[in-house]
Amino acid sequence: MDVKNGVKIIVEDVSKSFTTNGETRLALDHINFSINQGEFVAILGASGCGKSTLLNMIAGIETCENGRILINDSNLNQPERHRMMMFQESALFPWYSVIENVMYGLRFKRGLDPKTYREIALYYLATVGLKNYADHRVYQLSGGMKQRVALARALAPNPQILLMDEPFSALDASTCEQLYRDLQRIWNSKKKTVVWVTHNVREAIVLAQRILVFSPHPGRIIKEITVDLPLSRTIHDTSVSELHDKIIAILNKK
Amino acid sequence: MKTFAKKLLYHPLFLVLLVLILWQAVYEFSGCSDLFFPNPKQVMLLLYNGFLKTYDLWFAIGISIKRLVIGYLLTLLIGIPLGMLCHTSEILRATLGKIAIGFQTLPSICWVPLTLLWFGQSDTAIIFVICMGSLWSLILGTMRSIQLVPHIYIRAAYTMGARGFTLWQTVIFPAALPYLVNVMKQSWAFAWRSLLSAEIYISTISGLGLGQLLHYGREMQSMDQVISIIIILIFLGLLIDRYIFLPIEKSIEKRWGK
Repeated sequence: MDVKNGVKIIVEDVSKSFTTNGETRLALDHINFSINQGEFVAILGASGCGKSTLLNMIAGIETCENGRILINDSNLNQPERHRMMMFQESALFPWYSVIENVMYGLRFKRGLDPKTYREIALYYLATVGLKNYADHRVYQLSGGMKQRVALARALAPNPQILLMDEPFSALDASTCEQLYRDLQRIWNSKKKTVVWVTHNVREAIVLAQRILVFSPHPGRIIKEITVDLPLSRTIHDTSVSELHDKIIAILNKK
Repeated sequence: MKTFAKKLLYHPLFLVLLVLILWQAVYEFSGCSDLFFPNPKQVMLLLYNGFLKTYDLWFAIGISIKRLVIGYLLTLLIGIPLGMLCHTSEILRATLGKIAIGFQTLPSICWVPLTLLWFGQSDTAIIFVICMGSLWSLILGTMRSIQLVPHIYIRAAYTMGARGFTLWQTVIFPAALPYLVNVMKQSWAFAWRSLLSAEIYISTISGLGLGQLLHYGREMQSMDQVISIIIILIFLGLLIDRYIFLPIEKSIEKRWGK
């Protein structure tokens, strides 16, 4: 962990507070952690623990009040194409077709021939299993399909880091399980660094290699858990359940 | 047969027919003077002559539409960018954005005396009134349309690398378009009303529009002309909605799936 080599994301002593109605509240309290290249890390916590804020800061759409975030040893200032973000809502653009949505991020990547956009987009649509939906309109897709397209859109510019802000929290359980499997497969083959924000304990265990457990008000890391389980685990595995109970106990103690 | 009867009953032309019959009946039994209350036949005859013999009505429609289109296009050209600026610039929103509300409530006809002094009895005067009547609601509406764009779209595009003009062109503008079309339609309705009030009050030498024919119809005690013009105005309104705005709304609905 302390080896600086190959470290992708370093969050160093980061704090942030918000002022509402004249009352200042500490949202994040001196957060320190680092994430290695190709690692899948979950930030787990109840609402109000500042986990989305932290993700926005890593994405560069919110600023740190105190401390700093380093990406590949350089200070971060604004969103760049090697970090892609996925949101709770799909945020697909309804005025574009499915494939146009996936192609959207490509235009901002330098040195890419526009003639290859469609080909690239189709490749990533195939990766998420939606190749046949390229020319559909967004409204014709189900919630799960929309998030798949959003995933393809985030993957298409080939970012090194994926920042996911509870992307499956609005989906039903069986759709989620399907998407977990797909995500495990995609992560295993593409080896992206993933920062996954969630309040769902089982989801964090199934997907992440490492879980940072946050406490709310103010947001602090209370526990760091390494998930040492086989890659193709599901939420029904007994080992997952055991770890789940352990984390729940940690969350309740706080 | 039953479905045919139902179709007929639900067709707007059925109501038109009913009104015509009622109109004829009132004419027959009220004993009003033709000067005061023309019968349908007179009006039909005037429309027939105006459209197919002298072509006067075609000219009047052409003149009015030309003024309207110029005035409305000017409004779009000025109003949409100003509305966008009002959204982006805090100082414009606090100043122009506030004043526009006042101007929007001012009936466009109030501009007529001023316009006559400035531009005389000309097309320019009428176009000016149209602009003043439709511009303010467009500025405010454009501003509001952009404010209604879900923030998540902008955030998503921003994290993918969209900035400045590209962000406007690929996200903010298309996302605002469904609202903007409604605003443009409303602004068109304002322009249409302003055109008629301006034409009724401003006599021009450059040609007589529909509003002017309406006005002279009254001056010449020709009620059949007055009613003919009103019928034409209703038809034009229907046609424009059906063949200009409806297709635009339909195409957006098709894309967005609303």
